[in-house]
Amino acid sequence: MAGDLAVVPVHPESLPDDPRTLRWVIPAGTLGFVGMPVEVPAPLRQLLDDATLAGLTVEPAAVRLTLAAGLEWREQGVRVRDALQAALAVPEQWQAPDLADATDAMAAMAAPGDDVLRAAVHQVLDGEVGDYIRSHGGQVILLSAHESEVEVQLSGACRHCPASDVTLTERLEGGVRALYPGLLRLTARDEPGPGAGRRMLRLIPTRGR
Amino acid sequence: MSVLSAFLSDRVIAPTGVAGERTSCALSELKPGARARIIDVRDEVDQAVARRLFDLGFRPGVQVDVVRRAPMADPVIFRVAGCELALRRAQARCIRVSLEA
Amino acid sequence: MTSATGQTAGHARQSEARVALVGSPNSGKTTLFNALTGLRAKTGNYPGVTVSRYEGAAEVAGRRVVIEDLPGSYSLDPISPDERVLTDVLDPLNAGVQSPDALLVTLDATTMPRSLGLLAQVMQTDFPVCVVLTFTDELTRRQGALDVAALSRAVGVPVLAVTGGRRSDLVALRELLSRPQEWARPVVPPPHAPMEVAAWITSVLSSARYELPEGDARTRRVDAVLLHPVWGTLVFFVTMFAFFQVIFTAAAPLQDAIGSLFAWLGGLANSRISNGLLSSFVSEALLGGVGGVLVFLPQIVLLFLMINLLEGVGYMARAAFLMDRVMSKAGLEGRAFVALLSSVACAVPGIMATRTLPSARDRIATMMGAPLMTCSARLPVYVLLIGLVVPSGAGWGPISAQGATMFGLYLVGALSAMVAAWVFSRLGRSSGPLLPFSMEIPPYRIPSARSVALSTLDAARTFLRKVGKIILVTTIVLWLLLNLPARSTADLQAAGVNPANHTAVSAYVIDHSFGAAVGHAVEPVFQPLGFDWRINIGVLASLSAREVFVATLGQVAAAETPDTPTIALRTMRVEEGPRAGELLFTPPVVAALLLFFLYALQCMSTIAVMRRESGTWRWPAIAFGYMFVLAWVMGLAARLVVGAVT
Repeated sequence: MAGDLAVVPVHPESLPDDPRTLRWVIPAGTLGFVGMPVEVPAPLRQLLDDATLAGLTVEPAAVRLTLAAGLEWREQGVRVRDALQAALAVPEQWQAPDLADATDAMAAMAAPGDDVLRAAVHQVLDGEVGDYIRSHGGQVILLSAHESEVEVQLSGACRHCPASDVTLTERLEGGVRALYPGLLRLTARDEPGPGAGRRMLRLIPTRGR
Repeated sequence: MSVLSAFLSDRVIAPTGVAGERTSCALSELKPGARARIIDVRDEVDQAVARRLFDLGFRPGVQVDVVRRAPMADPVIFRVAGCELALRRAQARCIRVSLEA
Repeated sequence: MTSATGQTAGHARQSEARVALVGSPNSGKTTLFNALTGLRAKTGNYPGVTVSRYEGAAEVAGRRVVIEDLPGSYSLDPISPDERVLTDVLDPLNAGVQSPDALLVTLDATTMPRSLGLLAQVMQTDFPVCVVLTFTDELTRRQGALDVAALSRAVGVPVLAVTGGRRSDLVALRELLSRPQEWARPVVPPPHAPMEVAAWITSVLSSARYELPEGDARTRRVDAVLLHPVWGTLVFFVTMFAFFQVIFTAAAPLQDAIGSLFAWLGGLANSRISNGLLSSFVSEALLGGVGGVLVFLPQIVLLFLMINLLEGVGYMARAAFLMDRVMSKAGLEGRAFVALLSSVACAVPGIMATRTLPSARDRIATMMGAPLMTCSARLPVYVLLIGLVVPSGAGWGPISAQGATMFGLYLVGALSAMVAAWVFSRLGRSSGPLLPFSMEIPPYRIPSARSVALSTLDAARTFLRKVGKIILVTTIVLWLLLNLPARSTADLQAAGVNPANHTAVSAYVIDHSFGAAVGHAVEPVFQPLGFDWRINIGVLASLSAREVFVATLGQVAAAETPDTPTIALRTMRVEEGPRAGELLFTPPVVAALLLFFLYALQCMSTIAVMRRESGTWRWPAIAFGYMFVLAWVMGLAARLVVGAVT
């Protein structure tokens, strides 16, 4: 049955603090939006309608599915996976959340995909790379994510760390690119201060496949 | 036979339905040094053989390199999924590939 | 699980956790097994099949965990008996074999796209699963990459990298092994439909930031020579020649030393024990039997040392690759070559070497052919018999007739072995499934000395324990047959034998022993071949070892020097029947004897080792039966043909 259609690579990862939610990791860029979709393809819609699923959120490279209370992934897992797999085969039938009601001032001038890029940066900063920076007494703040370009600000211990040029930005960029393959460049700026100029880093181009 | 292996032996390795591309040929026809991408396992092949080839890493879409032949041209060593495997020509004949540059 | 404290030893044994190792061949599974269990491993057989079972205890966090090394396989969808054993063990409903409590799956980090396919299948079972990643050092060396923590998250079970059984890695593994019921379980098992599995593997590897390693440059350079059509073949034959030399010649002095030691011990026993019969029992049956077992050890140890080294390095797969085309003519695969070649020295190590063959059908077919190769124990028999009828001076120019006859016997033996293997391989094919041939050519790796030593030790130990017993019992039974009933001095004098004449006494004892009765009883069977009851005694005695035939005939013929009885045998005459008065060892009879020894499975050691390696008495029984019939028919044919010519 799946013979003539390319199957979208997907696998579930559990969350340590939320047994009812699974992150179904999908290739970055499969859906092209983040947040709670307005509409999903029929197989998934059905699981939401029959109250198997209580929640569905799209991340840059994953779909978070939350089971209704009282249900077990062990029993529902295969059914949900089949539905998700079928839904992912028709990405055009997923309807992205409406951005019109966003209160963010940036939203007005946002380009398509900016929200995905922003989510990707946040996910990286919340994850291992962020942990690494924090453990070294540093801080990174997202300044802008627009038209596939990201600007972050390094502060704290990062400023004077010689590793910040290469290692840190490399890891940041690698992490973001994994979630947002269209990333053009990631710029790291020092915290504004006496004598601190703006450093632009052309970072390693994407590795050819 | 266990439930699981009964389950696994029910797997169907179907041809992908990709029609004969301009460069499609049998894996056995390639010379050492050639690189190809696997299209599928031929329809007429015994399913047990097809399933085993699949489990050995000869899966549709996977890149395969012809490494070298034995002294009397059989068997042939292929590099697939990170490892080198020798197949006899009889098996290599069952695998349809498209040539890559 | 309940606590083991306060329970009796019997209960504690019941609550021992069982962890089974699952993995594809060459995934470092056995190295890990050896590292975990060491010398406490024991070898057995799975019920009813020719598949060895390896089991051993590991001490983890003060508790004993039984580790089982399951047969290596690429899939749980079995195509051979070995692989069926694996699925049987993993089937909790199968009452025939004990299922483990948890599984350790070894995955070769350099071949993850394929290895994960097996993991996906294993995770369909309900067992707690822990992944042991092997060869991660090689992955890094070959420019590959893998994030172990991310892989563990993606597959949903614990993942641990263990490099070549390194101690620091093992500490962490032992820690995990102590509490398998706490291992993380995947909430949703991987899919099983082929293309979905492929997608799952892609997804998991992408999350684990897996980079496929480059081809191993070192392996490519070495293979350019070792698998070269000309140089590779040359190296192969040189290697095999060296192999043969070592088991044939290097083992000989060691075997002689063991022989001398036991001869000395026997002499010691003779001089210390006054009772004649008892002293002879101790020196000949007991010490002779133990010596007869130990004499095989040098060959077995040397052979397995070499096999394990070559296997560990990765050369055996290449030898099999080079010889595949030739061996496939006999219905076998390349590896069988080593077993058949070793059998030229002795079928015992040769049959033990069949355990390196991946398929049970090939193992049986090789085992059925191997005893026909001319082993070194046939040599003294051939020398004696050829010496009886072929004059030492005869020949054609530089070619001596004796040497040519000997060469012919070797050739016929080798050809017959190949034909027999081909027949049994054919028979096996009709009953079993068709095996798609595939052979992994692993990168060259330096084997762990520990693994090589342990596998060699295991071969020697199994031989001593399982095979030694049978050989010892056979030796004792045959001694009893040939030496009982005991004769007192009065008996001897009544029969007109001088009790002081040792040669005459031993000839009288054996000629009137139970064995002689057997020799008389089977006379109708061997009569068409021209054997009389005295030759039959020799044939019976040769069951303990073929070369015993020579000394036994010497004893029967009351030769002054029983070990070189040619002169005494030349003058032996037929006692009764139509040929009475004629010479016993005429060319037709000797030809029949030669062919009988070429084909008959006159060797309890071979039978015993076959029983051990095949796991049942069925195969040795079949082998003995078919070889006996073949030997009888060929012997008769030889007698008729030679009789017609001379």
